[in-house]
Amino acid sequence: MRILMVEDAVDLAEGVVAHLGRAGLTCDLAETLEAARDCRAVQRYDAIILDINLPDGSGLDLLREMRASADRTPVLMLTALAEVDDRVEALDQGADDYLGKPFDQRELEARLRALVRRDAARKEEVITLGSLTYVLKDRSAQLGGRQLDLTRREAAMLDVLIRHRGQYISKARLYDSLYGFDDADVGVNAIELYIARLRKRFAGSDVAIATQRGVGYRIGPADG
Amino acid sequence: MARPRALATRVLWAVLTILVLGGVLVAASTWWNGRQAARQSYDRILLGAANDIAESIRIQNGAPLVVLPVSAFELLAQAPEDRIHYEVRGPGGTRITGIDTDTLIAAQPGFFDATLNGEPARFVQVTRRFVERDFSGPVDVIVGQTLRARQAMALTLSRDALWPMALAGLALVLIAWAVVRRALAPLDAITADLAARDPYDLTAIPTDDLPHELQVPLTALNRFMARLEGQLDAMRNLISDTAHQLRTPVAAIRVQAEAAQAESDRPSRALDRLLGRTRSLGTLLDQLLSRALVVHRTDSAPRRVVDLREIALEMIERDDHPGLSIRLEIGEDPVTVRADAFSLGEAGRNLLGNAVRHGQSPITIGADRIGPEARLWVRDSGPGPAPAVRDRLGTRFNRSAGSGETSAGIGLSIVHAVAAAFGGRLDMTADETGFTIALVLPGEEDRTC
Repeated sequence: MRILMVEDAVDLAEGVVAHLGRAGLTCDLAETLEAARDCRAVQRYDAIILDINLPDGSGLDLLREMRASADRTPVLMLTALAEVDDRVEALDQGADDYLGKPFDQRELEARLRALVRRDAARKEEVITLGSLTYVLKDRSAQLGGRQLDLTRREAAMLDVLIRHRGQYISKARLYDSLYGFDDADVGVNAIELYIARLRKRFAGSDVAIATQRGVGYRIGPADG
Repeated sequence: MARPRALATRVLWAVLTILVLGGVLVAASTWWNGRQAARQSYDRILLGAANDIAESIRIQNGAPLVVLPVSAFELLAQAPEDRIHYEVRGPGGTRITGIDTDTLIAAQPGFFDATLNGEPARFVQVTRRFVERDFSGPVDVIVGQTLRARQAMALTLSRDALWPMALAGLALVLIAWAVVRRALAPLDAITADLAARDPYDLTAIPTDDLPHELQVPLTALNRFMARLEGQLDAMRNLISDTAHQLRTPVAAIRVQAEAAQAESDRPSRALDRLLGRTRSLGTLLDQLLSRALVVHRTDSAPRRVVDLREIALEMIERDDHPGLSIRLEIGEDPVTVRADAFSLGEAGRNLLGNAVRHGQSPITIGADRIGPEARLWVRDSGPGPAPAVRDRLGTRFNRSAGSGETSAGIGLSIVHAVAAAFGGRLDMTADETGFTIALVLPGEEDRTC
């Protein structure tokens, strides 16, 4: 697996490159956008780690360029800002994941592997509903080509809903889908709130979750 | 304390006072003029009657003889309501003829005032001197009349003059009202604009087309708002700059320490500590920025209706807590407050963080409503901090012996700041089952379906 890391803090980058190297991931380092473009011209990468603030521009520019040229290489953004707006923007520009600085290197490694796996899985089992693409294997979803930043429980509920798309799923059934998250019990009243969170993510798209009072919830194409 | 009167009311009161004062003066002067006019005209009648009588006196047999002329009484009859008096006195004040009165009238030459049978009256004395062979000396004719007709005339004259004045006064009041309203219209418009303004809206108020007097305070206000916005911007930039400038080096230190640890063959205590400190530095940085951001947002972010149940859910969703048992306890109905969701989220995150660090599993997160108050609470199964520690909790950088290296005591101060910003408080209760810490905020009337 070959990774490109675009990061101008050399000591940080070299440390990460060394760590990933020990973990068996070959990692090239580019300190500027210019160098990153050169690297990509001569080498195909399985994933890219991209810092936002770079000496010759924003990492988001490179991301936009890539996506504009239909390059679907998974990108993990590194951001120094932990603010929500920043993450949302990164994901909106087509990033697949993000990590705030400072980060745990094991987590970085795990996320990279997940990205690459997801990229491979995308060619396999996928459920498509309007502009929503759901990858069964790792429970990740894309809406209109943009990665949805689902939490684990949101993903679990979407999984149940989308596997039974077109049918009404009861609250209790959805609650059962959360079984197995042994670290926290959220209670059945939280289901409504999770549905609201999912709806917020689908807002403005052609996918909608309908409610039938006393019966349950159903995912399907938005009406009109 | 009484509410200060409105500007329009003040001006109107002043105008009204001026008008009333002027009205009183004008009324007094009109009354005086009317009286003068009435006195002059009735004095002429009196004088005419007295002269008529005086003309009619003849000397007969060495004594004055008075034949009262009808014309004199016709003159006096112009005041039909009034009682009259006449008297003709010979030399030495001897009475020749006349109407009897209760009291003797002390006559003076010319016009004079006296009472006629207890009623105020006006008199005139005309003297005719006879130099005849058989009579010589003055004969005084005294004619008097009570004042009713004069008063009636004075009253009519003043009233006729005052009516139009009163109408003019009323018209002036109405005009003054209209003028004041018109003059104060821009002020009313600004007041309405300010009242309807979002408290977090710092855009300048337009000052074009406004009177000079209003432009001065408004320009000052606009300058002040611009300065405040500048400060808020600077704060926002400082937070994001600090975040960016500090996070990258901290990340680098951490990576280097991890690299050093991975490369060394034998365990090193110093390296472990370095790594531990670097990790807590990251946490500290997060908390400091979070606190700065919360303080900044409570000043600048508009308040919205937020469901505390969603905040509680987000607390569970946001961070993973492997190896812990966490329960969410929420009801079916929304628990709404008016606040900033981001700040509430940070507060909740710190409450949970404290419970995870210092408390005992299982931990319960909940949101509920008790009467008018909405609560976001975290309960752990531990005994909670000692009462002495509890009192000092929440002051910035307060660290107890148990805080350890990973805490800087900022967490609770964030919660305190959030509580204060949204008019709430922090409640701590400990019982046999555990320790509960709750962020209590004034509840918002539920307006969602």
